[in-house]
Amino acid sequence: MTQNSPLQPYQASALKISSMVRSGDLAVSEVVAFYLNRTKQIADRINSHTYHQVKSVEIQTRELEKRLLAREHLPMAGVPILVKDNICTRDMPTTCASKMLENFRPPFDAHVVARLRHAGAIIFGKTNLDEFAMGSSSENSSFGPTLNPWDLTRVPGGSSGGSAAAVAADLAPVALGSDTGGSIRQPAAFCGIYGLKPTYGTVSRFGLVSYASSLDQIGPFARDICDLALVHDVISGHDPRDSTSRVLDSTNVCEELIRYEPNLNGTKIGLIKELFATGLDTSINAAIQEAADALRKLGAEIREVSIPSLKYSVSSYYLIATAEASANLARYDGIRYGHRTQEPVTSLKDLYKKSRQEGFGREVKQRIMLGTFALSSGYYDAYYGKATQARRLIAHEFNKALEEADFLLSPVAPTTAFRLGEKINDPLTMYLGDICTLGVNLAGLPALSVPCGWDKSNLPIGMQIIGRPLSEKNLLTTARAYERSVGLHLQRQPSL
Amino acid sequence: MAETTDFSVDESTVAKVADLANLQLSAAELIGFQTQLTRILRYAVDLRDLKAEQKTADQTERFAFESQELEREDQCLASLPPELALGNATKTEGTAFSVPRVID
Amino acid sequence: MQFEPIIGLEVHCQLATNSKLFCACSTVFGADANHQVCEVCLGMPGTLPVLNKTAVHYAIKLAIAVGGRINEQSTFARKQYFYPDLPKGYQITQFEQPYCEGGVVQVDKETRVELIRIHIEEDAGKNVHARDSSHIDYNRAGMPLVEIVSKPTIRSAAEAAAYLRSLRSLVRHLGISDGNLEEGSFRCDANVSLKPVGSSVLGTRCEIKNLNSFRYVERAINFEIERQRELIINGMPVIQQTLLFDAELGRTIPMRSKEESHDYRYFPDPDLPFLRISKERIKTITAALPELPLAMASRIAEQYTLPDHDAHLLTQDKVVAHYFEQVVLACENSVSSKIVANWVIGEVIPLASEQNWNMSNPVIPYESLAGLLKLIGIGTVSSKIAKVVFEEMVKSGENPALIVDKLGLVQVSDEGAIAKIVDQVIEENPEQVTQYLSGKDKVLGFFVGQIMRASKGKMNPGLVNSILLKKLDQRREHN
Repeated sequence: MTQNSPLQPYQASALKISSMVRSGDLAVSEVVAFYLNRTKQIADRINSHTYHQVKSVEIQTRELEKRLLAREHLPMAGVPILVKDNICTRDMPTTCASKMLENFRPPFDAHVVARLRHAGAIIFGKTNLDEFAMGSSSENSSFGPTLNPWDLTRVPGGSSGGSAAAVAADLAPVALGSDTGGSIRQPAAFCGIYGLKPTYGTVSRFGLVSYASSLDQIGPFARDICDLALVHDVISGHDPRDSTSRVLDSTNVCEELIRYEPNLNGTKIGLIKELFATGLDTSINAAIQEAADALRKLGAEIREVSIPSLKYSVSSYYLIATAEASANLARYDGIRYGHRTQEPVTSLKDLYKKSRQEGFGREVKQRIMLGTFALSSGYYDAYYGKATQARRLIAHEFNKALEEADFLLSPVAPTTAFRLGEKINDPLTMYLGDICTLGVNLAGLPALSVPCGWDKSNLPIGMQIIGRPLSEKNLLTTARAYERSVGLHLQRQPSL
Repeated sequence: MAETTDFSVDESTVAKVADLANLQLSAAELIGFQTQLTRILRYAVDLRDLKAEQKTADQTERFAFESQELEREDQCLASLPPELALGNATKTEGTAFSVPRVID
Repeated sequence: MQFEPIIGLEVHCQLATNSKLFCACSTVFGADANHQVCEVCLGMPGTLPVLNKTAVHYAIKLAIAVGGRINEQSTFARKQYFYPDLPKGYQITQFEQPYCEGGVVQVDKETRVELIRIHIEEDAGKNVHARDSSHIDYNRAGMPLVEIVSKPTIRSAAEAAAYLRSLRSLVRHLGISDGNLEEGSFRCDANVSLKPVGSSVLGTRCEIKNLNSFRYVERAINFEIERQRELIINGMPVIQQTLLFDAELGRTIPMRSKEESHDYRYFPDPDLPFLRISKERIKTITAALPELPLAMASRIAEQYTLPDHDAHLLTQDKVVAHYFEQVVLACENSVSSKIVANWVIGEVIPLASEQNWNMSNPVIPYESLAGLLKLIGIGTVSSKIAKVVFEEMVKSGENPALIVDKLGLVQVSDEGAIAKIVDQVIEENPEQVTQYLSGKDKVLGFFVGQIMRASKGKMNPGLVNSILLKKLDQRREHN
């Protein structure tokens, strides 16, 4: 290890690693050795990983070394990245933390995985999640819960808890998650790191195991905002294999962030009134008010906006998402892949019922039930129909609010990380915790979770910045401005 | 199933839904889901307040970016080799997937 | 009480694209099981559909040809049910907003059948049944289909079959499907019920599925009409059910299990944006539309002075029609178009069907047939002998003039030679001569037969007839 090596816990950034690997100042093998060691020491303690094989990493390392010799342009050269286990990887299992897909090995890579490989990143392993991305705590997993690195008795958030916890514990500088109702932003806040849910359609869903097709997006986690931008630049862009993915100019937000001089003069930021209501943790409220002050000092104008239809967001989301999910999960019957019952069966229907009963966990079954009900004959208009109507209203009001303000600001969750087991038996209460994040998915907007403090128990607090469609660059520069003026994210680390 | 918008669900409906979704629930699960689904639906009752809209408004906001070309050329590409197509299946017969006899 | 049948037909027609509707797998028929599948059409987790442009193009062609109303914007929907041949647990189809509504199929000059709608959807895989298990092949899963739904205004099994023949001819003319019933690229389901004449109350209908030949369609519908009539007359209820036609037994039998009453829970597929069909696109396709079957039949009837029936037969398949026109041209007026039509209809089409010719590259190319017909025209062979030559052409592939030479089939038109044989036969058969002269005209046939036998059929029949008649009349004069 050279003298200037960034390979110290919580010091390395993806940007620095890739730059030094490209210039030859850092060997890929050194980077890999460092993170393999971190993983070996810590991963099991927080149960962040569902798959990690040294051999796989070594094979990728050797291939990368060849490509570097050939002087290929590799924006993420040598950067270890973890991938949530609902994103397909050709040479690794993709289980969605479900017994249903325990042994599933997809014969293809997700589009984002192909892009990462192409950029020189090393797929370091797969991370834990709530089964089929359905949950807000990462407790609904066939691998057991992931633990929050800041307090091992608490949840890291969900459903992308494994990726968030791993980045927070520096088992990799960056990781991928997916966000349908807050599953990137909330674990990012609970774990004190950055998480970006991009505008719907900017990142291909090909290879993301669908939960709710019109809401799902893949996005990055990082401890450093430029790293977030780096990964976003690599993974975003049109994919002809996803009809919902947009044709976009390629972005170089990372470059722009590096050059950016913090200045928020003229920027209007709207605090969403409805999300600062009663029930919000006082320390979270205080932290966000302080952050608002810091933004004011940078020149931003802080005002209040109102989105009254947010009161429908939990209902609308949980009817639409589960309806889409019930159809998306109908393919799991054990015939072409996935769990198939070993019990004796009396008929085809018996085969389906037993395989699905054995393969799916409780939360997944509950959502399939709710979704099937919402679409069924006689109920469609009252439930699914009304829920989509509410969705249009919410999207409309968000867009109106984003005419009055350039960005919207709110908490990410009403509480900080709660204890393991605290909400798992009370689904409705668990769902209500998503109130701050759901509306954003319903409206298809981009949103960023930004670390902005700690509560009295040293648990991280995150704030949510929401932007207009395709405003990722502006979201990140605003966060960058805040980060550079406050420098919070460097102040503490989890004491593992 | 009878038309109802009282935002609750009874046990027999839960059983029918489980059958539609091909889930073999235990008696305890049936009761459990009935409780949970009713709680969730009761919470959603505010949706009833939304006044009926014109149907035409429905379609226009999905996919606001639809000006782009969304159909693909009719080009034939290589399929999966059978080992990969069948590689994740538990039960196969030759290069076909196998299930208990379906009666038509 | 009198009953009239109410028949509606649903046709699932496979579009002849290179790749499947939502993925790039090949659509070629007959591959080994699961050799034309990918992660998308197997419904693997994480996969998404992308629409095939040519499938849409073909669907639009059909809609224009039947004069249907094309919706500028339509949606794809998920139709959810569990069945092993359905990889995603739902079928991507169109429900509330199909791309085409209405339309008319003109069966012939007098008969037309109105359509309710046409929509685009993907096909399911195939189940093959063994003793204790079923085996599933997904090669067909994801193939592009159009579903054509007629109004229930068809009134007889014969009309149903005629409608299907016209529809099949139409899709083949348009080049959008090979319309092959045996291979499953053109599948018909028939909905049959009976209604008391004069009443507006419809009876319970039964659906007969997967009728894979036109003959079966007629037989099955006729059987079903009778079956229902028997039930009603005997005061028994007609139970709504789905049926299959057992060709061996000649009866409809109920299907089991699959068709219990379904709640398909249709909703718009969130993976696919709207299907947008612009007026521009419709205009472009309309301009490039080929001549449609009925228009072609009319034109050919007029242009070649043929009866409607002949024109109809010639234009069932546009490749055959083209072949006919090429033969006519190549004959250079040496024979009438009617004769060409007779040969194409009477000899070529049946043989082509029996031996499964590719009519774009047939065993008897148009020049060869024209060559043969020209030989008839100039009297080298008679029509009868020409059929012998034709058979030999099919077997050996040699050209007709060569065959005539080789087999010594040149028709004798030498009047002297003919007269000699005629005299001979007349001499040998005095009784028949007497019979003829006393008025039994039919005896002529006997003479002709004898002459043909004596000459091995090679004498010009026209000349034989005229010389025979002359000689017999001479006898009369002498008597």
